[in-house]
Amino acid sequence: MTLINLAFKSIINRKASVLLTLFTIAISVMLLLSIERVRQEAKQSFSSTISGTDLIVGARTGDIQLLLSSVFRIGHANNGLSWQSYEYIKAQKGVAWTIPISLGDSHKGFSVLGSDENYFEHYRYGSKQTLSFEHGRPYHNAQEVVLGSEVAKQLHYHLGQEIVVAHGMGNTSFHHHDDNPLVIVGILKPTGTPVDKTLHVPLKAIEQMHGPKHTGTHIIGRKSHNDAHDHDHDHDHDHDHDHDHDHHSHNYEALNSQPGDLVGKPKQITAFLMGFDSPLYTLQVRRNINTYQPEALSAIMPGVTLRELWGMLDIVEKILMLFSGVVVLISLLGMLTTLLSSLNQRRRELAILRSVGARPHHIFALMTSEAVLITALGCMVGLALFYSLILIGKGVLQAQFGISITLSMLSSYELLLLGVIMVSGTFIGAIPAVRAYFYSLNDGMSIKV
Amino acid sequence: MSLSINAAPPKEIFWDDLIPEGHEQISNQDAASHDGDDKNWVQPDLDAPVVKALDGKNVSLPGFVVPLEGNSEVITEFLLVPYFGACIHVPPPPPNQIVHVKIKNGVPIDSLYDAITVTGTIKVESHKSELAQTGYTMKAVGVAPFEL
Repeated sequence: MTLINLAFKSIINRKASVLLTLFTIAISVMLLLSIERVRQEAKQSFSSTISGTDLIVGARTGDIQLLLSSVFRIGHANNGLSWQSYEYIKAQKGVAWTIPISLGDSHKGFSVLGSDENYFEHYRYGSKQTLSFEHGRPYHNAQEVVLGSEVAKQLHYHLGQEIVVAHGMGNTSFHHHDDNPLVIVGILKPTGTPVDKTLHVPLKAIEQMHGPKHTGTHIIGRKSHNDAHDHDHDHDHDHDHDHDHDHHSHNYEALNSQPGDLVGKPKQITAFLMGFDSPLYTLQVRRNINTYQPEALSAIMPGVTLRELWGMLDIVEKILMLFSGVVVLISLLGMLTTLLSSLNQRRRELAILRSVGARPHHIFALMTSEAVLITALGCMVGLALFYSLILIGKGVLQAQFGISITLSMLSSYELLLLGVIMVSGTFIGAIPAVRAYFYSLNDGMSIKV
Repeated sequence: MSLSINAAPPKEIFWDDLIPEGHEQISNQDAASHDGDDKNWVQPDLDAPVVKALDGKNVSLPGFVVPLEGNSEVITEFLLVPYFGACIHVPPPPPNQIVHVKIKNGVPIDSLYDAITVTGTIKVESHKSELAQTGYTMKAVGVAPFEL
């Protein structure tokens, strides 16, 4: 105990260099832990996004691109597939369900997904979990929209509110479909997947936004001139409450809408998801879609393509891991340098300790416990930095990449990493300790320089 | 993973054992043409018969993995096929040459290029669809790298 006390006081005595060493270790620990955490959480959130889907079909493109654009909303599909092809493939034997997906529109930076009622019935995430509603219900007609939890939270939307969806991706769009407001009828529970950041509308609503009456009529700065869109209001749907939609009182009025056509007559969709009666069909249907003559299509199995993606990212992961490992090594070597260089200055101190009765092994223990103390404090400060970094970076990661990082306890793997750092710190500390061990009493007592 | 659930050691079977004796299996390579022919929207040799005697047997079968379900670490559901690439650029095998495997806690499978041996209870299952297709499913208890 005295030794640790002594080690601590000795450190205090040389605080400048020790503090710098400590921070080097702390930063390297933070770096290592953050890289590992982001890597694992990213993989986790990717693989939990889609489940229970046998095939994803889109226009011919790379497997990974189709997966990224259709499910993760990363990048864009270059082309769509025709509705006829969709109808044809859907009608084949063995197909249990299909979910058409139409992407490409946005609302305040959140993507808009056009689909039909199958989306809420058959879409699965995590380990075959269905989407469930925090509030409200699925859409029943083309004037309704269902929000992902993150959309509702960030934009402070509530049931019954009317919103306008814009054409094209991005935060702002000059081409607003402001003549076609949609009523919020449902808000989904958080899923930790891109669904949270998506507005779900019926295919028909997408079609209406892109209808012939609208294309080219909206020019920057010019106000919408077509207020009377009779074809938009062919349902017996009461829109008289448009002007006071901030009051919650009428929400339920809007929610009691008449079921209407969800699909309309789309020409194209971006992609569709398929499920089969038995997964045994998957391989053959996939081949048939890939060799489908009327249109160039691609069908991918999400499980296989995800593994391909991991394979591609594997090398990047390894390089990141290597770099953070090297940073830790450098910080530990930095500690070794500091300890060794201070050793010469401390010969007098050590000799005095010997003269008052310390044995060589006491000196050894003193030096080692110094190194252990520095490493341990470095790890602790590093941990604190790591958690504050996560706290700060969480929102950005979620918003930019859809990766949800949890402020969870350290995993066993992360504890192992810390353990490895502690052990290597101790070993490195032993090097100057061994040298000090062999210094004799008179070495420090006799004045040389 | 312990295999001591069944007293008897699992019977080693191979893909030929999944085809009933005397059945002329259509060659995979001929069965599916390279054109998207309407006729083979589902598997070639769709009514390829299965060996009913295998039902409920504890077996081990080597093959390649086509992952279906899982998380970032493990695969919990996959198709076991007799040759690599069944899901990519060659025509798929007929239904009696695919086994739909479920494994409760999942297995980590690093490379889809490596063959594995799956041990478990094989079942002959018919699906209720109008195609009246039958196939094999397996509740696996263990997966090991395949060694010759």
